[in-house]
Amino acid sequence: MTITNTHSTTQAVSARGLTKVYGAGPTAVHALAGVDVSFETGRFTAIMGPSGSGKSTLMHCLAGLDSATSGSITIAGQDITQLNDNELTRLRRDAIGFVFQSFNLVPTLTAEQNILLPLQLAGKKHDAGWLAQVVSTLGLGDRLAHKPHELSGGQQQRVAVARALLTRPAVVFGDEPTGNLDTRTGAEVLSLLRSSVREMGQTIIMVTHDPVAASYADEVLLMRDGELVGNLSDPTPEAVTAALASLGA
Amino acid sequence: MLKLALANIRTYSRRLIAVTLAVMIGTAFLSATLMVNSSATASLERSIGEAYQHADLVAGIDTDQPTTDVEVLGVKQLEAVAAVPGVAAVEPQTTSGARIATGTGDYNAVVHPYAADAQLRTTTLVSGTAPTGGSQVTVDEKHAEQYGLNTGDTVGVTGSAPDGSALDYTATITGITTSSNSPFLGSNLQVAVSGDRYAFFVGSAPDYQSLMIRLDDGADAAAVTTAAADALKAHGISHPSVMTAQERTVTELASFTGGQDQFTVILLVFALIALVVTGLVVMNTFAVLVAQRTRELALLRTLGAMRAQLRRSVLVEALVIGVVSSALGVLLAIGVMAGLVGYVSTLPEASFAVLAVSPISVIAGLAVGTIMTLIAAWAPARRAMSVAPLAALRPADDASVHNRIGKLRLVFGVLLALGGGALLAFGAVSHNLLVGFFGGLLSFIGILMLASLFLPGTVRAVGRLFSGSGVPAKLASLNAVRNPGRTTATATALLIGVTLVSMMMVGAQTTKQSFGAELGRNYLVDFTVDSPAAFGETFGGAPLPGSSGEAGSGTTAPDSAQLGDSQAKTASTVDGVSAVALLTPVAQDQKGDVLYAADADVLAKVLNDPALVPADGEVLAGQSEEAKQLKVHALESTDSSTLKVKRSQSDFSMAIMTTATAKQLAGYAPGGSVAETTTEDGSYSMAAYPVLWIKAAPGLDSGQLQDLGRSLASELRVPDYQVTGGAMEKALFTQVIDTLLLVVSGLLAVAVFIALIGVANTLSLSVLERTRESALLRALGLTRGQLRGMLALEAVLIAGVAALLGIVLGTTYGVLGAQSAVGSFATVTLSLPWGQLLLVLGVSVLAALAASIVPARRAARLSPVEGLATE
Repeated sequence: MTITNTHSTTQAVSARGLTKVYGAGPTAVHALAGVDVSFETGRFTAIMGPSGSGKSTLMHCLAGLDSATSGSITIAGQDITQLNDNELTRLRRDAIGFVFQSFNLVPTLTAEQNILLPLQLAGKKHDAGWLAQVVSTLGLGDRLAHKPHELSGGQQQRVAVARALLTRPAVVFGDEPTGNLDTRTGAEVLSLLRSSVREMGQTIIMVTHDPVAASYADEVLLMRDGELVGNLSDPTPEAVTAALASLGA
Repeated sequence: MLKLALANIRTYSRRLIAVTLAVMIGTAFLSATLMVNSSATASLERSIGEAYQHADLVAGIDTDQPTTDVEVLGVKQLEAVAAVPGVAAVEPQTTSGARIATGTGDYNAVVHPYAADAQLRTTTLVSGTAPTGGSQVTVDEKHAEQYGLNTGDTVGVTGSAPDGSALDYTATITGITTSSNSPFLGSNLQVAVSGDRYAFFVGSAPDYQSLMIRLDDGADAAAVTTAAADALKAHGISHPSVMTAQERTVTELASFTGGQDQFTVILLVFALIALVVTGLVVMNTFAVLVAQRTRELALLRTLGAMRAQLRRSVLVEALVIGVVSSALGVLLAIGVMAGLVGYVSTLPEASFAVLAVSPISVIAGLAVGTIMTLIAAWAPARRAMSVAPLAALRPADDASVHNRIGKLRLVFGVLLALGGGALLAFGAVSHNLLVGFFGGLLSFIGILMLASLFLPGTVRAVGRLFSGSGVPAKLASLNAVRNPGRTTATATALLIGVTLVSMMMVGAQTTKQSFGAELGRNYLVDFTVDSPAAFGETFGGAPLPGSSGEAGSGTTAPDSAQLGDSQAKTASTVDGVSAVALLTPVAQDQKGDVLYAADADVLAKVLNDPALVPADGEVLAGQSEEAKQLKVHALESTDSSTLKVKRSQSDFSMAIMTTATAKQLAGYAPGGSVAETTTEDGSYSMAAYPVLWIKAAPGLDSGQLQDLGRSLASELRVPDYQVTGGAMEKALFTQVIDTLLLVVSGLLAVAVFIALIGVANTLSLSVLERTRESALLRALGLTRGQLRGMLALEAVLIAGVAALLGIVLGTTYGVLGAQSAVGSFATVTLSLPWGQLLLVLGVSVLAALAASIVPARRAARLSPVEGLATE
């Protein structure tokens, strides 16, 4: 099944005929069995599905962290399957932001240094105004000099979000960004992500298995057995739960 | 990236303490070695410079140029130089020896003429007046104080001139001079005499070392230099050298420092060994640090760090550590050397010692320390580069890395080990030390390259021995080889040190034993005491009347100069003597050599090898005796008898027989002695007197044997030199080897120490890495004690196996090395210093246990809940 968002012409990320096969011969596992998908600029999309449905593999391939077996992926107009490691690294640095489940901050650096890290890796100067805006939006103003272990889980994840947003990437990938947070802090982070889409025009693709988290997205894509099997626009937690239940059936 | 590297160093500084310490010690060793060289040179330069400090020019003979005739710088040359226009004064640099009797003691003194020219004096007056006339002297203040000499004291001066005439006169001390550090004046009492008196010491044709020249004010130094050289040439010196005092100092310095450079090279070899071991520790530390940071490195890759950036980050960390630790190491070296030089300069004979920190010792220390750290961090940095970005998203991997030995390394390792081994064996068989040395070096490098093949395997095998004793032991032996690469590097560092130390120990012991056996064969007995008559003396030391070193022709020395039964009895009561034999001259062979005899049972007791006791009708002769049979005649008889020759391996030519054999000789009469004679065939025969052969009690060390020699001399009332023998030579030899061994082991101990720091380091890093796992084990019911025991056993396994393999390797190298080194002049007897080798093993294991204490405590302190929560 193919799902295409037809009502927009600008696509931040798109994939054609994407397959990912582990192993060979009769024991081969098709983690992705031919996925065609595209994500519009300025939209917040959640990918959902039961364990083993291939949602994480899809995200890893889209982000250029894992190589696809066949098919093409386009980010910001570039076919990333044709890039070598250095070009791919540069693309990650310039066009992609990440928010991980386990925050993944560098423990030896302060919050501010962590936020600036991608820019420093690229040897670029940061835009002070933009940094101030991101930091104040995320409410991190008084936490910048702290090391990760001095911050709460929610604060750490907000630092990670700030790090992802600072490069104004073409797309931010979130991998269960609220998985390690309590409900209230999780809701806070999700609101921040949604407002970054609304107010800053950011594109976000998020993998989650939490229907409440998915309900913050503009759209939910459903996966099973390495294929896209459905979508929900303007989802509510109840609708998502129902859709997931129908997949399991 | 620099910021990240610095942040890492700041945050993980505790993990870097050990590696900093290791680099620091290795660098300090290198720097200190170079400082020893520069300090020794500077001290010598200061000392030599003092000899010439007041001279404008120094004239002498250029000894680098070959001359056909013996050329001497004498009075004629001195006068010729003094006549050169522009020369204000010339003084010879010359010394002679004398004995000074102060009434309370008898001291060696260096005598030099008190220079007439005030500027050119090496020593200047502190108090009193300059020596004039024949019976006035001055002494230097340092020794005057030491010996209690004052102005106005009279001393006895004895010496001899080159022509053999003796000097013996009484002199009055008229003044005290400064003490000079000039190497020509040495460390003895410095006595200055008047020029006239000095002429008696050097005779009519003095041989001056050099001529010190003072120039007239405003004289052209270059013109005088040329003119003085021409003047010397005109007076028989074919290659004169005239140079400034500064140039002369530099020239002499070069000729003095030849041996010292060799010493520096030897020290540098040890410094290099310490640095190689340090490199292994650094490599290991960085490998562990990179493994621990896999997630972090992967995160950086995900965030857009290039591979090269990650490598640079690790290398920057290494660079910072290298620079900081090397700087600390150089400072440590300066501190240690300042202490050493400070101590040495308090010794009277080395008061000129001065610390010189040459730029090269600082630069080389910094550069080598830093570069070594960078090289060692290179491989781990490459590993950091190859971390996949996706690793950041996976759950934390358990620490386990599979290392595969590279094919190239395997091939080279096998080639080197086998080739080097063959060379070493060849060196041992052909007694060629150079071949053996290179063979050993190559094979050791080969074995180290192959270490990852056999070290983890051996640790695993030894660990299996313990695995029956419970789960903690089983886990420990599994953990010890969990990361074979890390285990290999840790153990290799220790293996190098232990191999070298035990090689030295086994080599020394084997050499000692081989030489001991050789000396035992060469010297039939421990001590030999000659009759005083053989030296023209009597008991108590006074010379025989009318004797000048030889017994008078045709006379027999009185009993007061011959050893007899009473002396034998006295000797046997001396502490430390186990047997005494009195050998009396009984016969002469046709060459005039005297044969001695003693009772067979007594001989069996004193000979080092009782099997050498000659049978009836047999003579025990030295190695040089080639005849199978010897025709001899008893003393004071002309009837000859023929005896069979039994050859010993001794170079020592005195032939002996048993008393029983002697009694069978035709015309034998007891109590005979031999005076100096000329035999029938015209050969000359020395006078011969009874000799005592003495065996020392077993197990006496070198000092005790020397004491025994001295007490034998005093008990028997003979001068020290009449007591000789293999025992003292052997003891002296043993002492030299032991001292060498001590020094070398001390130097190698630095490498072992660094390696043990490495063991502690690896263990504590592994513990950090396994925090979760340790917590899990604690949660599952492992007690704190068991956890500590587990880590201790892991450390002991790695260190114990490394030490054990090192000892086996070192023993092999030691035996083969000794065979190559001394095989050509002694039969090598295998002998292992079990005690010392066990000590090495014990120290390694105990140090490993100690090294496990801190990491084990840290691991045990962590509560299971905390540990499991740690990400």
